[in-house]
Amino acid sequence: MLNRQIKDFGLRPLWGWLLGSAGFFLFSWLLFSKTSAAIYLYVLLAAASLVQLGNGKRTDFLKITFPERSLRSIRMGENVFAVIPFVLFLLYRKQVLPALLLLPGALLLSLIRHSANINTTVPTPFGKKPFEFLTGFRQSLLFIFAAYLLTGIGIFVNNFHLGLFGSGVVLLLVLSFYTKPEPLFYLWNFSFTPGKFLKKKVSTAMGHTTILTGIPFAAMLIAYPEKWWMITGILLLGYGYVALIILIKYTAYPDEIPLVPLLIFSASIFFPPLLLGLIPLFYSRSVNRLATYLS
Amino acid sequence: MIRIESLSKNFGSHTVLNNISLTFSTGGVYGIVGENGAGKTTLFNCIAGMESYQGRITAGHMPLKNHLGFLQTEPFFFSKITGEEYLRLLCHARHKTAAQVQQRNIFDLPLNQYAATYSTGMKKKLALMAILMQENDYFILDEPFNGVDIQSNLLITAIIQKLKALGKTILISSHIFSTLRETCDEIHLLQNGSFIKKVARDSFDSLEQEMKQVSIGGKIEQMGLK
Repeated sequence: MLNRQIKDFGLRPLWGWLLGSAGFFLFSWLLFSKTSAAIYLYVLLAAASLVQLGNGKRTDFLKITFPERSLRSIRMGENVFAVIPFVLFLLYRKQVLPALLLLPGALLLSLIRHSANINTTVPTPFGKKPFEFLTGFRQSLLFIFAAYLLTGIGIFVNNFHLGLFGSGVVLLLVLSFYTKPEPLFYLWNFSFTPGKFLKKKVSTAMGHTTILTGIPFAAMLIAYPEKWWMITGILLLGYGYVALIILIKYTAYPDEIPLVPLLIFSASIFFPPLLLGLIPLFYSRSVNRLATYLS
Repeated sequence: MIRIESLSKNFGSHTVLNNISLTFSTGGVYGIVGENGAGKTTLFNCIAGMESYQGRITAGHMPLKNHLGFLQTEPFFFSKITGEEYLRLLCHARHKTAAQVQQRNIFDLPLNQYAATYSTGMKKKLALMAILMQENDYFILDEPFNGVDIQSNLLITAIIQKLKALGKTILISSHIFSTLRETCDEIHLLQNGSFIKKVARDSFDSLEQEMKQVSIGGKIEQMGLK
């Protein structure tokens, strides 16, 4: 399945695995070099990926496809495979105890089937203009609360970088709301011109981003008023990246975002002035792309 | 009115629609029937503008897609969107306000629940309700009766008759002949990408008999059921 997804991405599986490993290492290295709470976040991240694998629907499918004994070995194998990168990096960082605890934890979690279907309707402030924030907020609810909590802990222990990291995670979650193309039917329904459609999308995203990031960024501003320029700067850049990811998504629509625009997006994170050129460029490309479906 | 002129659609070397020309009049209800793979869904997608094609499709209100309500065979719903939010999304897409939603909820759908948790029939009814609230002039109803309970079947039939009275143009695809008999003015038979027959209301019975003969024939005996 992973190989297929890598191929869909336009890469050879080998390259996909190499780039994925390099990206994982880079992310882990950045995390550990930026915050002292990295170890907790890291373990939390590993647990989150394991919980994802234990999703009820997925486990049920495996259950009806494989006999009981094979199912157990498959689930254990999957979980061990998923935590191995985390274990290896922790060993590299000489964090032996958490590394060794992760393995039995992964085996234990393989026995647990959890249902991700919480059918109680979660109220959101985004109901007036569906759908990205509505669905994204509900799907990422726990992560959003965790990011809020992280910001709170950062402020409480007077660790500015941890607080800023927590607030940044909320922005990253917002970006994730726009990475998957919606089915054509949803776009087709809009009786807007491509330009108007994109402007609406971006303006709605800006408003909803303000609502979702309001609490952590306001808390950071109150706690660290002397660093207002950095906090506001990160927020403003966040708006820019949200606009860019929307435009990139519709440049490739109805296909998934290909690798090259994604690399360009990553480059803009390391060199933010690129945003000034990329936003108009991808705007005109996505207008052209959407002209096939909107009029 | 929707006018189709010389419509063709190919997927690679495979021709799905072959030089179709047809006019659907204002206030008319048209049944489109054909076996699986005959090209019904492709035809609907072309009319809706969701597929590229060769030929010309025009309508009284242009662009057609902005005045068209499309009920798909299997409507897709996001996993965490409620029925009411779905209605609001589709109304917003057409610059309409989703007003008096509860009052207009004639199918008694649990609109505050996530639509993805609905049964097949409830999903169909929600999708139908949404395109009705968009106040379209044209409708494509692809299998509107699929998975729907008998009471709602009656209600959908009455809705189609009301839409006809309001002068809307409606295309229906259905595998249940009786539903077409009650709603359609004409039935068009699609086979291998071409319309091979057009049947007016007074000849529906003979069409049904003919279809039974072709579809069933001696196949039951051939199976040797015991």
